[in-house]
Amino acid sequence: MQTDPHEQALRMIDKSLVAEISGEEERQLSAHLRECEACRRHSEFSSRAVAGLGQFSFDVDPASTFRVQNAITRHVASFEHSRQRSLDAWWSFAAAILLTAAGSAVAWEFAGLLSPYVNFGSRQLQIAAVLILVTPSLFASMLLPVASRLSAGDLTEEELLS
Amino acid sequence: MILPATADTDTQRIATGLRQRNVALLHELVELYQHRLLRYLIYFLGRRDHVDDLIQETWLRVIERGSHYDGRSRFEPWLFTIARNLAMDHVRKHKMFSLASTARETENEASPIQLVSSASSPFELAARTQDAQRIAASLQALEPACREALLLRFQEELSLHEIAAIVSAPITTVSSRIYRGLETLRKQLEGASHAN
Repeated sequence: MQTDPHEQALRMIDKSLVAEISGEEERQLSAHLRECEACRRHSEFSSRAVAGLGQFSFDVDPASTFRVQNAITRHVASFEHSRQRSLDAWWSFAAAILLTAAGSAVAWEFAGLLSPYVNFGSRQLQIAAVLILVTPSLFASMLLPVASRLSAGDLTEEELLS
Repeated sequence: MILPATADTDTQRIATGLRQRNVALLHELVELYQHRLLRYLIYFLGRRDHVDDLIQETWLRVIERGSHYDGRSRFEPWLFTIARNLAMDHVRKHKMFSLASTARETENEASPIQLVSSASSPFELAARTQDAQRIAASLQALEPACREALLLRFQEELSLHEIAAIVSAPITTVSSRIYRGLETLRKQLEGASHAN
């Protein structure tokens, strides 16, 4: 069954606007349009419809643009602030861990020196000293990053407890 | 889509700037794209109100997800995808919809939903020529999916592939929407021409 050249041309007209058509298709279409007024009108109105889409003027309110730019500035500043707080909290944590480790070493040595004067084995006293004196410190230093996020609102108590 | 060298540099500059949350670049992008975002959202929603809020939300989302843009493709499709998703959320949240357009779509396609509004048509208010005035009413009544596709193809000059990625639909569906929209507008112009 032969394709109706008229129908084919109508399809080709829209296709040429929506997507690309091949050189051969373009030649066939041009030849048909030279002879067919109905298709020429179809092509004209299709082109006018496309052109008409560009004939609307939606005015941008300059105040709106200014508001958006301000919002962006505030939002970025908030990100930076949050990032800095997080960094500070991690540095504090690192410092606390170092101090805890140093405190552990001091407590260990001190307990070793003290053991002859109390009725405990040296090793037992040293372990007890580390556990009693240093464990709370270690626990507190681990809480530093979490506390920072809680106070910044990045982490809810429900998320923490779950 | 393979970008030309200069465009490639621009998109890489945008990608780098977004990763670094460069405020100057973001302000520049706002100046460049404000009108196009406005026009896109009006076409998508079929109304003017709430569009300014959606534009602002779009840019804030761009900041939050800036690291997701890799600069290997054009910036516009990525930006319009963000705007579209926010607009869809807005419509769902405000529960302003009609089901008229869904019958012709497949189940898996994410089609926008027509807003019901009694406000003046933004197209009638914005028409600057006689042809624009003639097609304004048809644009307003058109399925949002067709309206959106017409804008992205003929005003934003995106490829069918890019449009399909934005609207999460196959290329054949996008083409179909464009043809339907074009037919509606063409008939409106032909009718007006016969009347004269």
